[in-house]
Amino acid sequence: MFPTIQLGPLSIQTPGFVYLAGFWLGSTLSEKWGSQPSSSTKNIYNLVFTSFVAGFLGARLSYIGSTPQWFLKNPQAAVSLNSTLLDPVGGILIALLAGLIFSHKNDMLNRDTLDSLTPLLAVLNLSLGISHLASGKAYGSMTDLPWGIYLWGASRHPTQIFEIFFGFLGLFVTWYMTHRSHPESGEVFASFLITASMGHLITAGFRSETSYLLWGIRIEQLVAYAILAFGLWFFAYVRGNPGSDS
Amino acid sequence: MKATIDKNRIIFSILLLGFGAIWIWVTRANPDEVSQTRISAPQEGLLAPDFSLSTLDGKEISLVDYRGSPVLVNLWASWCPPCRKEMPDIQKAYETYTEQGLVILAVNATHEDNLNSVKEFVEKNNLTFPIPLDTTGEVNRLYNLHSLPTTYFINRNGIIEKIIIGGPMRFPAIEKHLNGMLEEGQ
Repeated sequence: MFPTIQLGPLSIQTPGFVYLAGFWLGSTLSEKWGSQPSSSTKNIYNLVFTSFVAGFLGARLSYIGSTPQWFLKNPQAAVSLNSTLLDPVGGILIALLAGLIFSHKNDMLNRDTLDSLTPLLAVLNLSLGISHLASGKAYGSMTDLPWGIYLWGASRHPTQIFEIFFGFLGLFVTWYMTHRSHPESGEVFASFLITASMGHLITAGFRSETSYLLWGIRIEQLVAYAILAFGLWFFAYVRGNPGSDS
Repeated sequence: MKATIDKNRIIFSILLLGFGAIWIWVTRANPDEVSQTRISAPQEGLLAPDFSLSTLDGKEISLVDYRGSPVLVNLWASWCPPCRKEMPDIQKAYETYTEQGLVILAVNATHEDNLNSVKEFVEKNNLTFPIPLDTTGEVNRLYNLHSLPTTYFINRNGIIEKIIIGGPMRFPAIEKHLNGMLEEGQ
């Protein structure tokens, strides 16, 4: 496990570095694999960049909103690069909102945009597994099976390796679908949703520490199942309604 | 032809959803079993490894003695700038929550620090929580330390709830992670 990378006196958090690298690589692949004219590619780049900046600012603003008194006493902390003063949920919500507003303003609320963003999503999905492997989080339950790995004091299911495997599978499916001749608009996104959700549904079954609902059913698996059902429905919808819906 | 493809797709979708539902049921967890098979390791969701050390004021402490209280274990050194910067915020958390049972153990990496600098820093910043001294590097090894500072939030059952690698960790962040642990068992 390598939760941090030490560069002289500088200590870099590996998960954060992996997500940033994934963001850069995913954005590049979204530009390269897209079959759209260069003007649309530029719009996709602007959409991703706008959402990223809005998400970062939103994460800090959301945090400030939760403890305004402390920030009034320490105003300089509002602009610090301290990652512990970020609210990830608030950041994601504001990034999605900014993305929706940007797409609406630029007439991009359509299935082609989802397809163009899919390589970025696929790389970020792969980054999740790599970051878990680096930090040792999301570890598996104990097992006697021969492919168990010794981690945190026991032989465990290699859930981080499973995640990375399904991450690569999702990326491969995305590559295959984008390089097919004349894919239906929305097919790339739907295929990725199905592959990624199936991967998470299977992997979460081997996890040691997760949140439970009634009867020990894991919340992560239920969310993945809902996304799988939506992905299958969306795939059928795309096939039944070919062409862009812009 | 199209009808056959549609039919195959529907069958495939039903099979996939059916497999998913069965998999969720088959792999459902037994929370009691999970809590009974906890082992100690420096990772979230597992038992915090126990250690016994002497503090700066000469007392002997063991982590296990604080079972039943929420514990914040901070690994630090006096030469580490983010460690120095976050100490006043940790002191503030101690003053704010000590009545609710919060225990803070700021384990100094004494094997790679200067004891006089540690004493000077503690006095200058009026730190009132225990400062266990890791003179052999035992705790660093036990907790698989990669970076200073690293902070472990340990709940009343001795389970690591959250690990924060790096810093400086500011008061709102400390408060946020403590809140759930302080509420438990009250």
